[in-house]
Amino acid sequence: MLQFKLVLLGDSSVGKSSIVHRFVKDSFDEFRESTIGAAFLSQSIKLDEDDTVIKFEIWDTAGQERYKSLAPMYYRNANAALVVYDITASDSLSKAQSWVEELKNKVADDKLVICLVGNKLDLCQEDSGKRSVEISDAKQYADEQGLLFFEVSAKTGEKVNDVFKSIGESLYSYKKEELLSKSEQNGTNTHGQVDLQLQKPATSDPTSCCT
Amino acid sequence: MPISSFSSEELSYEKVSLEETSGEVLLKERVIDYALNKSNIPLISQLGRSQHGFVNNLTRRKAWSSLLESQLQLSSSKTCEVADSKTINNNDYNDDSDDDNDNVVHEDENQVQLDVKRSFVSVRDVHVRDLLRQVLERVIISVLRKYPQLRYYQGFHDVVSVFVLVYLGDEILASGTDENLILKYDEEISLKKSVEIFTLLYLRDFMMDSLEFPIDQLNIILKIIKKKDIKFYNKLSLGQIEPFFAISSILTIFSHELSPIMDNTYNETLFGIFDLIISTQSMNVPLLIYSNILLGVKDQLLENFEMDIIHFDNKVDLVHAIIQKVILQSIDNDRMWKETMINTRKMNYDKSLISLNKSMLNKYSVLITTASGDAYYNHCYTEKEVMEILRKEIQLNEKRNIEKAQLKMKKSTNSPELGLINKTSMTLAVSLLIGAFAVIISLQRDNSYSTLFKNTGDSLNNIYEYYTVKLVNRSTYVWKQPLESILTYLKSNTTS
Ligand SMILES: Nc1nc2c(ncn2[C@@H]2O[C@H](COP(=O)(O)OP(=O)(O)OP(=O)(O)O)[C@@H](O)[C@H]2O)c(=O)[nH]1
Ligand SMILES: [Mg+2]
Repeated sequence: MLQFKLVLLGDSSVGKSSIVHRFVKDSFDEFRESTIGAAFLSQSIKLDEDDTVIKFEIWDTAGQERYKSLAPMYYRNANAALVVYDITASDSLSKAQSWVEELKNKVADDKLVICLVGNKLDLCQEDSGKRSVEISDAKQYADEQGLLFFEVSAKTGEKVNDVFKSIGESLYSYKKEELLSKSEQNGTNTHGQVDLQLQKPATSDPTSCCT
Repeated sequence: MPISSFSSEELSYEKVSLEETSGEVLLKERVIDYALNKSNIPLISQLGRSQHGFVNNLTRRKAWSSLLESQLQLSSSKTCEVADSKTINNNDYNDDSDDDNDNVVHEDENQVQLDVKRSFVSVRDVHVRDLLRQVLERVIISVLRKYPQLRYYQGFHDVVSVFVLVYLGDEILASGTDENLILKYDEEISLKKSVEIFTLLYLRDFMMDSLEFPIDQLNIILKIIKKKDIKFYNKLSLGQIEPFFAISSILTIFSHELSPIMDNTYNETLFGIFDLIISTQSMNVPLLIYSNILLGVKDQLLENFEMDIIHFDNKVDLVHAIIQKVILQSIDNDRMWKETMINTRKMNYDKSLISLNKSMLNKYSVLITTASGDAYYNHCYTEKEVMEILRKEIQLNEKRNIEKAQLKMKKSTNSPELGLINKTSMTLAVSLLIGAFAVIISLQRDNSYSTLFKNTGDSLNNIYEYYTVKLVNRSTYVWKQPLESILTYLKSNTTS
């Protein structure tokens, strides 16, 4: 099992907590409480490749501006960041962009996987007039910045798992590269294979912590 | 005690649950009523501090109003000092109508709406929930508009929702599906007034333009734990951890974690916490409670610590995660709460614990001034006094923000607090150091090699210390290595 730290960032009420709960509990509450400070959750997924199990340590932060000063403590050492905006609120995209910038400036790890996520897709499927961020604009921005990108709905669950899966795959491939180059240096690599399990001490019980 | 003087109407109003009809509680209710009728503030506060607090919401709202109005005299009312329960429902408080700010929108109202929409989530009845939300929004907006210098924080709405339930919960819950319910105007006025006083005297620190002062408060939790159980403190490395894990419990006074109402049943534990705070006039209470909870679940915490230590790259995340996990697990545990409250009541008299904190706080903090627990019922603040304290506290906070921003700038463009090494600034620091060495060496050029070495060594140490302690005090280990290698390099060069 590989474990990664993932942080959620984005404006208040864009649906960060709803996305996490869809992913972790596969449920949606119309009226989820606002987040104060930050909340911790964890969830594991299995990748198709090699049947690898990836466990996410998830930090869901509060969106109000005044809690922003706490964010560094949550994105510090993060392996992945999910930057969320609301596709029915254009302000929230510029907020997401400023988060992306902050991450790029403050997190020196160039292996940090950032995923831009536009939420509340269901609202635009009901009524296309509600959309205020064009998918092409967001996609273009994500490409320029080298981010993963998805439009999702926490409410219906559409694409939510894909987000975490694709983050997991990126993280896994980075990890493989890293280990490969390490074992090449050490000259211990015999068949181009890597034993990822050795990298992190695994426990027999993947849910032992904090689910 | 002239029990006959109570109106039977009032006594029968509140439905007391079966197990609580036990003589003790009933008797207490009567004593509270007696104290309220006599406006005996010391007695009221003593009753609120003891077990069961103010017993039920009917006595509770009267007691809260009496106490709060005895603590702050708003210019629009005359109830201070002669706090008289009979005046609470009178109309000498004329609903801010003389206030100019009333119609000026507060900058944080948008966030208020986002949070009100997500409040009272545990109330199933849509109609009831809507009513509660409407009142909640009205109360928050009225306080913010009256005091535009206060900033709203996510979580303030949780605190206010406790007041909404205490003052209007009975009425709204009883209304069922009555679409035409018109809430008692007087009750809403006294609700607003209590929230206003509570905000100014107790929550002020949280409503500045940054989180600096709230974080100062959180640090007291660590201090208390250190004093009470140093081994536990060391085991969890609490000395190296910023106590952000407690932020939601403290800023919402546990109302985020303990839902104030569940399936139409009030959360007496939560209300009891507020009883204790208001009757001791002390915001130390939440900090003491939090510390006691941590000490109470110590074994689980240590167990989880051992179990999960292999999962986490760093202790900060680990401690943060296990504290959240264990507290969430035990939050519904009645026995844990009972013990916590008993311990807290005891500790609340321990002045040494409280005075220990003074140096960590800004001098206008609620913990030093208006909700310090020292005043008890002795001092009644005037609105003018409190406004002055508020003004100065805001000023001090601005100063702190500026200082902090400057410090950040100084710490160079990257963030040493993240424990990361930025190549550019590393090179810069190294070349600065080499420059400094050059200066020292050139100054001492005329001396013999041995003196040079000795003196340079001293100066080097000074510089070394200056850089490690002053400039990069948070990530010494990152910087030590290169400095040490320079030293060794220099030494070997000079000696060879
Ligand atoms: N229609 C629709 N509504 C959503 C969706 N996701 C979230 N919401 C709603 O948007 C509101 C905010 O969602 P949250 O998950 O609380 O937002 P957040 O980003 O965690 O907000 P903060 O905790 O304040 O930072 C809630 O009322 C949700 O019901 C979605 O996919 N579709
Ligand atoms: Mg949230």
